[in-house]
Amino acid sequence: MNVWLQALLWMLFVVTIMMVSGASIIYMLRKVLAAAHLRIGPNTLGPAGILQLVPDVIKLLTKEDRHPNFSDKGLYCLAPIIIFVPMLTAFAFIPFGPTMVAANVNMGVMMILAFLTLVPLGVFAAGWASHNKYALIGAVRSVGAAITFEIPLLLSVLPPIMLAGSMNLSEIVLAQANGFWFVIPALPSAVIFLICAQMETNQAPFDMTEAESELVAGFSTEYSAMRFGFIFLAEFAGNFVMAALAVTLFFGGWTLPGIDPHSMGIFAPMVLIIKSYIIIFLFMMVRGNFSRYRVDKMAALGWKRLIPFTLIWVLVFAIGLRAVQTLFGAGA
Amino acid sequence: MGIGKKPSEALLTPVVPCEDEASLQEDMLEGYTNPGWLSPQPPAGIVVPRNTRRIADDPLQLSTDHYLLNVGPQHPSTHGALRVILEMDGERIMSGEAHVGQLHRGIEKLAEHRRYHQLATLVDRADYVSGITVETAAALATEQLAEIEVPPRAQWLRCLMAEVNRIASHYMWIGPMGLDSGAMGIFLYMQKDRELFIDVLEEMTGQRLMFNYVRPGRVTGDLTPRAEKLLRDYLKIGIERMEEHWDSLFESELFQIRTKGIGVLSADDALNYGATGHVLRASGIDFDVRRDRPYDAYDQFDFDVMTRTGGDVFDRVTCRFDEIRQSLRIIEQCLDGMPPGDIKAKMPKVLRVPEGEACGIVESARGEVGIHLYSDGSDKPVRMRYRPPTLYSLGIAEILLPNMMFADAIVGMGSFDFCFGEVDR
Amino acid sequence: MNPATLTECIATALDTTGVTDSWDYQIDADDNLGVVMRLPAAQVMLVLDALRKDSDLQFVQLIDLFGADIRDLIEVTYRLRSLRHNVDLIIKCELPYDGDYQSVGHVFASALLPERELCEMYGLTLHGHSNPKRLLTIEGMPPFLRKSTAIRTKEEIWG
Repeated sequence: MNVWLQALLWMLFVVTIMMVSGASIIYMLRKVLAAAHLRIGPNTLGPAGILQLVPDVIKLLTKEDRHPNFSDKGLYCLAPIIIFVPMLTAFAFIPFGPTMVAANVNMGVMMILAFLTLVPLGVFAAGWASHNKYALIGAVRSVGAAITFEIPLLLSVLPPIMLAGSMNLSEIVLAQANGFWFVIPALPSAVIFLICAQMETNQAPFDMTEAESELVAGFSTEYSAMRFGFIFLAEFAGNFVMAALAVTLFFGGWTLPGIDPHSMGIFAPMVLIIKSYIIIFLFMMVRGNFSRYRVDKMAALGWKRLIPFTLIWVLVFAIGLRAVQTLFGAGA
Repeated sequence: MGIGKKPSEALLTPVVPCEDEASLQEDMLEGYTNPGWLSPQPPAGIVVPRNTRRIADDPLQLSTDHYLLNVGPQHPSTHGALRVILEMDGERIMSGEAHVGQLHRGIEKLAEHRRYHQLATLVDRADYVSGITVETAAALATEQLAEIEVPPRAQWLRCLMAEVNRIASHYMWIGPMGLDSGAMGIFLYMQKDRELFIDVLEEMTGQRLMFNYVRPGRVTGDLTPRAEKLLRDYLKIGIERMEEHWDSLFESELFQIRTKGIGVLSADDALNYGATGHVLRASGIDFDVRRDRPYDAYDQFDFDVMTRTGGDVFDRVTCRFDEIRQSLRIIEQCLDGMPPGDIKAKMPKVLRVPEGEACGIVESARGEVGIHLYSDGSDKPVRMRYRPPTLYSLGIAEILLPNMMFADAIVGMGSFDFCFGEVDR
Repeated sequence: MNPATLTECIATALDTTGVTDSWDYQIDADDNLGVVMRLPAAQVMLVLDALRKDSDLQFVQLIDLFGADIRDLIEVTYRLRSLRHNVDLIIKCELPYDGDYQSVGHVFASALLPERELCEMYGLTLHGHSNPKRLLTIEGMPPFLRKSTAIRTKEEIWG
């Protein structure tokens, strides 16, 4: 097949997955939070309100696209794209099946995390360009949160890499299919990864960048119409990326224990998606029920608890892994 | 961006210079420490009015350029039409000033053109969340003036409805406290409970918010079987529900991090700044109008006055949460021991009261509400004064703001339960 | 504490501080309000301070402060509370229209906000206050609570 056509098809695949997962997560968020809050949620359009998103999108598309006075117009227009594109790109590296991965690169883990690291840049640009103090405070908070939580996030993905001996996500998945889920030996890493993922996706209790009771809407205060739609969609897409990454690294990816990974066929993506949605459900329940951290307490949590703990844990894990490999042979 | 500019003239209010006053104060206030005072020399670079506000400490000289942040009146967490101008250093607040008056409707002036039984309608609009209690204050003042004996059943009904309304108001406040701190779930759980009490109020008074229930010498409706059944049903499950709310909000460590040790108000400050209600009791002062100045039938009930000693946000919230339990106790006693009889005293159609003054004070949901009436013998009061408890809390909020983080300021201001219908009147 | 005892206690308290030498005050027991004390406006701050610092009475709280338009004067009312004796004391003084009001915020900080409201609503000039601005209304509004300010103009009623 023509290499360009192949690239185009993969791109369409990634965009479709992102749109569909974004839309379904928005619907799921509404329903899950509604159930957690004793509310009903969308229930009018379509069966169980499933078509609610259609008028939402129409509304976002038809609203006036307004620039705040004195805003930095170029940066203001660019910022949603800086937020949206890295999220979209990160989807390309997630393996949905034995061969269903858009970009099967050897540095898959690092690539995803590197692209996700670009998102706070876009958030900061949005807040800075908006000419709004609330937006600026949210932007500054997002940078603070990013440098606080990306270090433990990066450190917490090291144990699965050590166990699999590879940074290629497909190989990490296959290593789990042949052995055991990496959550079993690396449970603390999985917990820290989920905490950092909650922060990375700006969800309560770490949603200081938006913090609607303090900062109105944080960095996106001044955004309207489809620019806001892009920010909104990127947020939910990021939700899916982090959940899928957690599943891939710690919960066996698209495989199921006891089933030959090469006979999964069409069920492989479904397994990954269902597992991801279970993680997303966990995120949503935390989001719906807990108070927000204060920004300095969150920094203290990151710098004083998570970073020292992950450093020591990675050290202990590496020494333990080496000891086990030496004692019981390299196959363990 | 407007950031890094010098504070605008809004905060640069100089003290009125007056040598006589200064010498007078020095003479009489020698050796006198007022806990609300600033040091006489504010640190350089920070301009705040003297002696109303404290200035944030900056021992390490780490402060950067200050900027002004205008919070409200359309901010989601100012609970009404409050506008606060904060002078901020990054996330820390250096000083703050509240601007009120967006909801000013001249209720006190309008009252001078209303007959006595119409006052209830007006004061309902002042404290629009706990109307029954303030209506009671207006009725008490009128009854003192006109020397009306209220039938016992009407008194008990007033207490019953006041407690029902108090619980509804407290739920309306504790839930949004969770919302201020970021926990959305508890807000809706408490709204569900509040709905029941609002249903009772609707059953008894015909209204869900502006009740018009307590009139001089009477109440407008008797206890209906359905209202009694609703209350009895809640009393069975109430304590259990309260435990549930307690576990889901107050036992949450995140909520405790956000509220414990935040906005600490000492007992001296609380007295000096005229705090009443839960603000006073959370700072350790044991005073409740219902117990210490009993009105209506409150001297016949058995209930405790809840106090805390910390004076921080957590204490203010939990103090009120315990008040809900006490209110449930009072409701139970009301339902069990409601005396039979009439709910109306014999009254003329148009009430003309003798010349004089009277003041009815009640414990409203937010603190002590006093309605002070001047009468000249006609059918309308010459002057009605509504003592708004949260206006005094606003002064406290202004001194607590410096040194707070911005996020804490939202929770801290929320903990006073401002009701701007009442502050602005 | 009954009104008679309170009256005696207040007299004693003011005598021992020596602030009563040069002026007169009048204490009545009103049926509705309890003990009411009438003072010249200039002495209010001294008396409030003396009552606050008095070790027996301990009027530590200023509960309320408001004015009233009585015919040709503005009557300012202070409501003090002693938690020790669980008793309220009402102090009244009278000021002329457009007069000067001396802030008592240095004695009771709770007076700071109501004083601003009092002065804008009765057209008084606020002195000795740390933030002598209007509280509820904007510049240029008439003193609303004076009897001479009508709440409706003829145009509003008849169009």
